[in-house]
Amino acid sequence: MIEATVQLLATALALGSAYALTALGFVLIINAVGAVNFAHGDLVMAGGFVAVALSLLLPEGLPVPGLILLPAVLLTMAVGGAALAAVAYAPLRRSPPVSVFISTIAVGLILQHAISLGAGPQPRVGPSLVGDGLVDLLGAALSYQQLATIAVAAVLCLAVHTLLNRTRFGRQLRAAAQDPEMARACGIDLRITIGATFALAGALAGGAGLLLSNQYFVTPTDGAMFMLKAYVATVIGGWGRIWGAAVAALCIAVFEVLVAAAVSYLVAEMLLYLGVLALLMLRPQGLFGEAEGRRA
Amino acid sequence: MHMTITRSLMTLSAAVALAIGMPATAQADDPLAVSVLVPITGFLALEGTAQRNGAVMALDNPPEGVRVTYDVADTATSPEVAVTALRRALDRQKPVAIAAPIFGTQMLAMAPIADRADVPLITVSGTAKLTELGHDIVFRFFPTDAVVKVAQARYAVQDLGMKRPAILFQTTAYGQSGRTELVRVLGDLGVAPVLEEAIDPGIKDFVPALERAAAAGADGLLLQLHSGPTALAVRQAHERGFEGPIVAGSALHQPTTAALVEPAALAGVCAESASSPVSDSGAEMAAFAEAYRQRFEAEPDAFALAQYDGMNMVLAALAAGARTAEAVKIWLAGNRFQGLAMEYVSDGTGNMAHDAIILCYDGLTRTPVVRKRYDNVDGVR
Amino acid sequence: MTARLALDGLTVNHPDGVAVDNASFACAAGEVVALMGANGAGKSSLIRAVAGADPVASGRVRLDGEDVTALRLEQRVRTGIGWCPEGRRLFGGLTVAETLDVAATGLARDRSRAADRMYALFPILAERRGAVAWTLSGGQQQMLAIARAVIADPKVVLLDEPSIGLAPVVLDDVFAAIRRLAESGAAVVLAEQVIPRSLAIADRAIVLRRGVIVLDVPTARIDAGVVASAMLDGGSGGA
Repeated sequence: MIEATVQLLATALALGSAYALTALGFVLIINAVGAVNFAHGDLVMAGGFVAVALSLLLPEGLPVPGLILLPAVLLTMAVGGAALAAVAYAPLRRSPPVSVFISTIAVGLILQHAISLGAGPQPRVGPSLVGDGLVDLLGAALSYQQLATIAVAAVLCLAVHTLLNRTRFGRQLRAAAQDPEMARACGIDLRITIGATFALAGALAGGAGLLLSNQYFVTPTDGAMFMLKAYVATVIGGWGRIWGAAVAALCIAVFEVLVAAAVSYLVAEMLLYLGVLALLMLRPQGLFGEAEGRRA
Repeated sequence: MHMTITRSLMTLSAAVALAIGMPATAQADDPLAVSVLVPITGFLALEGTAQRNGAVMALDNPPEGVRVTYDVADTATSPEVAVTALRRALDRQKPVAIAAPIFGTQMLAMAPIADRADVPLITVSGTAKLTELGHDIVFRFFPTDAVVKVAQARYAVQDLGMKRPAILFQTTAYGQSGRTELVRVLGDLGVAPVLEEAIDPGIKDFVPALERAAAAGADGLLLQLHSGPTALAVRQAHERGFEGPIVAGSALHQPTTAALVEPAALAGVCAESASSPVSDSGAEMAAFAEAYRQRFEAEPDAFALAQYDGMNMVLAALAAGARTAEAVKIWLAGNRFQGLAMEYVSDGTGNMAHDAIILCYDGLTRTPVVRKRYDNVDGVR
Repeated sequence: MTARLALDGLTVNHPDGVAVDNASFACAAGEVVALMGANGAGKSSLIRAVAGADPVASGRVRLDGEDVTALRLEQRVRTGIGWCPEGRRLFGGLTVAETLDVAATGLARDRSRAADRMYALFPILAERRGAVAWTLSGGQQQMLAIARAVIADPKVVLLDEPSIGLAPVVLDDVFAAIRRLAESGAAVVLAEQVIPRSLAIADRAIVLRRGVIVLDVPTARIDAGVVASAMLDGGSGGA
């Protein structure tokens, strides 16, 4: 019983930590520009495919291909995020937020179809972070991969936290997210802060894609599912609360896995959404309360 | 007014003369048209591309004396797009036969229209309803669940000795209808599944399902999942040390699915299929596979081969003298055809394929071996 | 001598009509100009236009003689304008220290020194430097808003109704701080509705009525009564 639970928790945390990175990036964009980035799930998928593509360039038999490629994937997807801002957000700055929904939906579709045409529609395996191998914990066999996924996600979250709270640029990002006009009144160039936020979100999405691509494969049509997880996590955690969304994403994964193991996947899904509905009715500001911001 | 009527009459008589004259000027060896309408983009792009490739390989090599032209169009993901493509093809190409999408929902939308035009649809779709609607123009060259699920269940129980199987099936129409058939066949064999778990296509974590299967005392797994989920289930079962055989659906025969799993994790895992072109099954099959690889830089699968066989049967109809869509349809309905994968003959409603195979992986390579053939499963041949 | 801040025929439009109509005045270094008017008279519109937050329909804004009208908000503040807006508009989630760090310019050492200057100018902020902005009291928040506007050592300081919601005791400190700003050389434009205190610290009084400047005199020459009637004369003063 214990070992089964440990086994389940390990898988849940591995999956959930990737979802947490996704939710984190998603909320950063919401905070920065007040609009929902519907291409976010497709950015995760794209990150997975970038990892797959880059792994084809590496020589065979390299020990930790995923870790080696992580910086390159983060960088590529950061550029991708900034490009998304330039294409789907910047031209529609002065339009109502709903225009950005539509433009990001469009970009997401374009990304999905382009990757499907370029790489083919079938699922692909990404590079593994560390080698295969199992470690025994309380009788359960946990793979190095799972533990590495959790560790890498934790490191990335820590990096984001440090950036936002201990660097001047991070403070500028937060200020610009809270009151764009007053940030400008402090001499901050919003084009830079918004571009940087999209780049950061893109990098986090790419990282999540890499982490998921080995254990769980990546298919061009995966975007919608990642998007949904991020959105639900954001609603549960409290609209605009970045760490609330990340924690909520972890909780969603753990909840789903435990209920699915106890009853069934369908029940787990149903209960999750019933729970979200109940939360919206009883505590609409989310578990951790709504941060200042505009709901999109 | 008087002048206008005269002119109209003259135009009319000229047109009539032309119309009468037309068939006379049409040569008996004018090329006939075939349309290939399959999903090249979207979530069935893999299977649709395989269909396209198989059809094109056949159409590019017609028998002596037969000349065909063909057009390929993408039906993408929705019935609307498929219907538009069909209408356009009927209008412009006036085909004598159409290679039609594997996607059941699109087929259901296209069938009535093709019926009115009396043009046969050559498909590999497994959706049972297609041949139950009273249209006589659907010709299905891939065995239905009534055939392949029988093979899957029988092999699991009779050859692998499964007594307490757990069934993991997709929540889609494909998964649901397959599960129904599996349960029925298992019942006929005196076996009851200990678990039947519905899996959404988006689910990536199979550990809960595996835990519940283990808790229910399952001694084997029967999978009715799409490509990615099949690979995930097989891999995670291996990682968790699930003891017991696994017999998967036809998704696992596809080389692209096997490519996702390490060979060691495939040891002892079997799958049902109509055929396995990449497996060693004789010189002709090997030649087909090699030609396919050269041309498309991809491995052929059973869907490609089934479509290839189906289009070849159409070409055989043309070689036998059929020159209209209706004639092709009648020939397909009334004749046998020995294709590469199997012999095809209609059961009266358009189901042409009645054989299945079980293939298994040896744990060393990703190329499966054909372990057993189930011929004439539904007694039609 | 060129005035630190000079407005020349500034006109600002508003969807409902003209918010500021052909306003012209100058403010010298070390001078406090009290900009007064009833609600809706155009004080905020004028302040926002000078800061660069809103576009002008016509007219010029000059800083030490240089025309800055074409500059966007973030560029204009870097030329030396500090803007403390109506309603304070602090960055709610940032601490006092973080707010000052964001608004200061230069390298880390320069920013740290600038923050220390602010703590000297506003001792109350020094005590609460680790506090998140929304936890501060009204007076402390106003101090922080002013500090944020002046930490980059601007030549012109624009203050929009800093007295709102503050207790009289606190007002004393705030207005004393504003006077000190001028004494250190900035040109201060103070938009206010509280007439007596404003007149007490200002060198000049300007009254706006429905977007038009109707009075522009040294404070020595007038009293609150004159100002009040100038604000209201000629019918209802609000739009």
